[in-house]
Amino acid sequence: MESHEAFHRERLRHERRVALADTAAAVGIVAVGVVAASLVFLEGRSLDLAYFTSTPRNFRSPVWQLFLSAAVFALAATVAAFLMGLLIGFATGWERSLTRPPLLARTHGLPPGRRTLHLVAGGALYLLRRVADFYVELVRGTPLLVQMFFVWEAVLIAAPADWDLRTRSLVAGVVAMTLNTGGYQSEIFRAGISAVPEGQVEAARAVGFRRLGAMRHIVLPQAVRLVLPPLTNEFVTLFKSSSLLFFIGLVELTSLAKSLTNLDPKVFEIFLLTTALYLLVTVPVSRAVIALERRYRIPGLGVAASPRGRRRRARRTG
Amino acid sequence: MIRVEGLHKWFGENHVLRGVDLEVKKGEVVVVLGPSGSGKSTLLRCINLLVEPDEGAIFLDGVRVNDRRIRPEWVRQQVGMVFQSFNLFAHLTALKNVTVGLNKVKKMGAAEADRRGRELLARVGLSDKLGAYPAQLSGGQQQRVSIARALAMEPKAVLFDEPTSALDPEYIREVLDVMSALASEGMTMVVVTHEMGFARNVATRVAFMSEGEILESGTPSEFFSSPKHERARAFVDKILQ
Amino acid sequence: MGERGRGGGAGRTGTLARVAGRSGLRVAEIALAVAATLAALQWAFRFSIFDPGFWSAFALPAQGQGLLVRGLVGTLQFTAIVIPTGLAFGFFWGWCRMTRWRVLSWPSTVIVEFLRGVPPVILVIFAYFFGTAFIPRGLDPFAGAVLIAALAVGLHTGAYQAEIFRAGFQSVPRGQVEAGQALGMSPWQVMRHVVLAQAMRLSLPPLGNEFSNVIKDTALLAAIGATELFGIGLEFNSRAVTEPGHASWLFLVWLTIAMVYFVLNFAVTRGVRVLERRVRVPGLEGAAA
Repeated sequence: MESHEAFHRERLRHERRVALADTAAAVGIVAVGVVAASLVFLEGRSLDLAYFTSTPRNFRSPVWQLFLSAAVFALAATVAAFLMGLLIGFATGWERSLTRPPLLARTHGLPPGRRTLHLVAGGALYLLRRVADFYVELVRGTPLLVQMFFVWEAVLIAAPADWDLRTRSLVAGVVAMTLNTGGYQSEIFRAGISAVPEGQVEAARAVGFRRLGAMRHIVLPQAVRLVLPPLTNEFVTLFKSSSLLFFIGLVELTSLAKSLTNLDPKVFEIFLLTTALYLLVTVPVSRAVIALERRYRIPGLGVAASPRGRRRRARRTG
Repeated sequence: MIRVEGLHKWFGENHVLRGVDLEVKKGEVVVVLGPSGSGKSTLLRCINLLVEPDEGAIFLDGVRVNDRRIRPEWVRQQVGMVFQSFNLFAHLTALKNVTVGLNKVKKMGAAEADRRGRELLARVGLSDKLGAYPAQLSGGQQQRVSIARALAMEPKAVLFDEPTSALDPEYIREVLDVMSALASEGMTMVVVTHEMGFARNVATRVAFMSEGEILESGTPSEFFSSPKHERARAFVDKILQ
Repeated sequence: MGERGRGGGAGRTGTLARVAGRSGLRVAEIALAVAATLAALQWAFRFSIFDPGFWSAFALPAQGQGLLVRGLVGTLQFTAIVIPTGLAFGFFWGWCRMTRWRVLSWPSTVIVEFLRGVPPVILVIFAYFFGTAFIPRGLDPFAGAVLIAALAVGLHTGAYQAEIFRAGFQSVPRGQVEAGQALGMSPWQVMRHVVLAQAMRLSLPPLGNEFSNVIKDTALLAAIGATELFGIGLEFNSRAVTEPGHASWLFLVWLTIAMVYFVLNFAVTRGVRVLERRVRVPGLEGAAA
């Protein structure tokens, strides 16, 4: 047996060497790629780090400070829009996820007066739900840019006269972002709430909850686990969308980048800082989502335990 | 026909196969028995090179096949395999599952492949399920299709890796019947199973495997009535409770 | 603009939508809703959509302007460039990311994470800037730069598609791969007949979602002055503002453009759903089913 052990140890050592070479090559390719790309985009000159501490014409602060405040502005706008969108999304999402038996059947045994009331209220709610559906489809089916400009035109025309252009643009931008994320979040909440099995509600009612209570105490806590990852992704997406505020003249990262490139031909440095700031927010948050999903996964709820480990469905009759 | 000499395999630090020797002559039905974790599946997978052994040799009709110069695909066309979890191609009908190997690997014409596929499915008793998808079939039916699929390649031998372990009891019989019929037609088979009835009645030889080694091998009557090795004895006692 | 990973989007979040079903709208309902919205806007902002001056100036080619049509053509052209680019890179990167060789998976992961983490408008702007160095001589510099920017959008969508493809490849159970090998299939044959055949079916819904995102992302090319649906809206408005009494036109423009995008999007999603239905195999649900 000893020669076998020795042989095996040698084999393991060889495998470890291959793995090391593989990793080294991988790191090497990434490093070489980054350096090569940088050299190409720098077009022959060398990286000017001093640019970041310089103060461009017409501005009062050094470059890095300008970028930081622009990034903070973008983040603030994103957070505001996200939170307001959350309210819209949750309310409409919940409403849209409710399934009820048809009105006429439901109100069958009631006296005519009450029945009419129920029918009218039910009809109104149904209409509301269809409107919400349309809102969501509209927001998801058209570019945010178009939505933004539509809102912008409306705000420019309808806003109080004493608001200056910047205020109007800001309001329009945030409102557009809110409506946009509201639509997407509505879909997230609807899907999350619907994914909780109907049996849960039945069981809750059997225990004694009324329908609303079942919703609050049984369905929603489970739905939270399901909506957290897509909501976090939505936040990241919204943050990236904040770059579109540049189109309506607001100073956030992208517009700052563009105006600085007009002043100084340090395009690569600007590109570097801009992308770094965006990546600083998006990459950690995206990674956190993946970790979150793994930790809070409930086998059998919504998402399968693992795409590969699924037991084949061999137990079928006939 | 199949000969295995001094087979060793490690998975990380785990020494799964510790020098396995096995010979399977043409027409033999060898059943490999043993407790779980003894390396039976690994042994099977080494024979058709799904797993590459670390040491040792595998011979098919006298030709050493675990050799860098030989394409594993060629070996696998000679030796078929039936898996515990059937592994039917979910996107293909039963008939297409059987003929896909003929079409793509053996480059057979569509009409002839189709004919052979129908023959084989009739042989395993599934003529009425040609157009069914795996999800529409019961476990027993899926496994029978899987056997037909392996037979389509006209292999010299077929390896069975716990073919009935994933089945509901009511379907085990139909699969074992197909395997018995195959054995009586003279197919060389190596079967890893817990079905002692099959081992006793159909096997020509029984090999007992424990902790990576084949400890004992003999005819079924020899093995079940008087096992020589003490671990084999303990195993038989437990089985025949 | 990056509408990915939302609601019925790529990868993990998409499974949520698949499990919970979609809330579809029937065509009649949409038509009704559109009419209702137009009527409401007409009442609220006191303009008429039947203003002939608007249509001739904006939409119809009669006056040699035909802005709307030109914009639509531009959008479709860019979509036709971006989607194949995305598919090619997405497939390649997705495949790289799932191999065990780090020399392939690490660089592709870095590229994909970078392209997904940066707003696409940044990619468009800087591709335009840097791209001027790569345009072959003899090609119109502006057209060349726009092409490069379109390719940048293609890379961006490719990064998202990489994730979709990777999930698709990995959703095929390993046992079937073994079965393919046991039949004597070469690694390429296993890939083609076992993995791809199933992975493509599973990837259709998230890919469809991604395609409709691409249509929306082409609007970003307006940042560099390309001719497409959104850009001509800006162009028209900058001209219309100077003419008096046409304030309502500013709205009509965006309304019309939004409707066109909506119809395009609708067509793509329905088209993909038809495709899904045609290749559907009983029992082959999404990876999470």
